[in-house]
Amino acid sequence: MLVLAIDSATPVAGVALVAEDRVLKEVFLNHRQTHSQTLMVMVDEVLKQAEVGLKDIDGIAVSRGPGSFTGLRIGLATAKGLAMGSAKPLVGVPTLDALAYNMCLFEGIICPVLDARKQEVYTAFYRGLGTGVERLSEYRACSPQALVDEIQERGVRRVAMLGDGALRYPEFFQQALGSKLVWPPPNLLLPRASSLGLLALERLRQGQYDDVMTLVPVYVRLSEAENRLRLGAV
Amino acid sequence: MLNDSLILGIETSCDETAAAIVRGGRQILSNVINSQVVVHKKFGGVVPEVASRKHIENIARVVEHAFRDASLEYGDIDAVAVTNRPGLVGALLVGVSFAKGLAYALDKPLLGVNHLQGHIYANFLEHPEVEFPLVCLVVSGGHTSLVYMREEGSFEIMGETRDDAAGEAFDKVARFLGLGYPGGPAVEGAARLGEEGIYHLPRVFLDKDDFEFSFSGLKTATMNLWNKLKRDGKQVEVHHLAAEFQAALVEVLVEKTISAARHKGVETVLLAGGVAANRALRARLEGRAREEGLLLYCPSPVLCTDNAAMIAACAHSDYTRRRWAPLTLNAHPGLSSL
Ligand SMILES: [Zn+2]
Repeated sequence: MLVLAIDSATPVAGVALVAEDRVLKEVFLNHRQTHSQTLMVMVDEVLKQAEVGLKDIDGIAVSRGPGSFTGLRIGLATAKGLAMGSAKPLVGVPTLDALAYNMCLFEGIICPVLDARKQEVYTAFYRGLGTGVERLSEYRACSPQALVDEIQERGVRRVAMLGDGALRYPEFFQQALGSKLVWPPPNLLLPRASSLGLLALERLRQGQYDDVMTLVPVYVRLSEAENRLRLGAV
Repeated sequence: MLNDSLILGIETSCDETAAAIVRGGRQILSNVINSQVVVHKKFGGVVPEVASRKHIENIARVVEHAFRDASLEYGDIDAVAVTNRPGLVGALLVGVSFAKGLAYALDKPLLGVNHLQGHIYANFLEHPEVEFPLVCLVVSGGHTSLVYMREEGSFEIMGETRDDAAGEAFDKVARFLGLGYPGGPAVEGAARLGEEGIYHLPRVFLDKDDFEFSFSGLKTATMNLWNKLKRDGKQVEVHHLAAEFQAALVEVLVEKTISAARHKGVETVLLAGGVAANRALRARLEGRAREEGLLLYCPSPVLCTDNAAMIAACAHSDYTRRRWAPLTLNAHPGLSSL
């Protein structure tokens, strides 16, 4: 099986072509957020250099969120267009799942943390399974302090933190968690399209995929306006 | 075939998710519009983030619908055209990203279209006989522009609004007067029950010799008049005030358009954009054009509001001239130039 994976959920843009047992080609760009200009060029480059056509792939994977609202939509809209035009199945993979997968060999709690702005982060807890990860909590937006509190309450002994949210508050997390905290090396710290592709491939093997017509991002948060309306209506 | 092109148009610049297929830049095969008016109504105006969320939710279905209505397979089209400027950037990006993915997968050319130029081309869908050179008044919630077209694909902005767009002024005054949203139809409805001239509002022509507009003064004058009447303990006749506001706005739009046509010495005048659906504007412009011996065209109301048929129609000339967009095509929020 071959999966084309597309990720523009965070400041990183990534595209990868993966099979069960190997990554054929991967492009990772962590430099300026011009996803709308770079993403399709990266898709083209990955396919051309791997000498693979869209007709040869078995599915398209896309980072579904949470993450930057606009980034998520650029990725999903691109993936929908590609999937519709090529009649290939589309698989939406939660951004935090794919990020946690970078650390699937870690023995301890894996805690991907994405910058949610407004002094908050998107996060969830995972356990490494060697060849995969198991999610232990809901996706949520919370303050870095609330995240630290929960780690302490759970009596976690070792926690690996990664993602742009962790990098946003490194001293805070280091101070609060001390020797419990493990930082992965830079090559594993941010979302990798290859991780996304491998998780999607697993779902495709089980015959699961999403509906191109109805798939929407997981924002976790309401828009500002909806929030105000909700608060005002209470 | 270049001249018999089948172009898919995609439009997501504001609060309509739209897709259409047009043959040869003139013949509509399908025209699907998913309006979010009801969604934004509760916020009293278009909320960019909410609009973007709706676009990503709807885009694939709307495009599929356009193919179904035209009885075409995806691979049957010759090109994918998409609005990439101006508009709400987050909203534009949904259409642009989707169009890029689809065009790439189908191995068809991609075309980036200016929304304003699209509005002008709505006219060619219904009036293929329109001849150049011409002057077009584009009036909508986002724009008020006088555009001179010497020939196919050539656009010169003669004047624009310096502040509020005409549609924006309608929205703001409607909200102030408690007439509801969207403001255009709300003010028009109220004005039909009232009479112009009972109250007096200024006609802001600015410099007689140029073609710039300004509507924020008219909006403020309307609010000030209302406040003064209230202060003086007088009953405000909302219908008469709406009628006077609309008349003042329409008169400026019409007279500037007529003088722009005279200035360029053209015989053809076009009306386009969402506010072009306003019956008072159409009636007055028709009357003045007849007096001046000008040929006036305007699209039917369904093609005045944002739609993708106009985008596909507008893209036809770029398609035939092979002015295709690269994969780096981006969305631009600003008016900038045509
Ligand atoms: Zn418009």
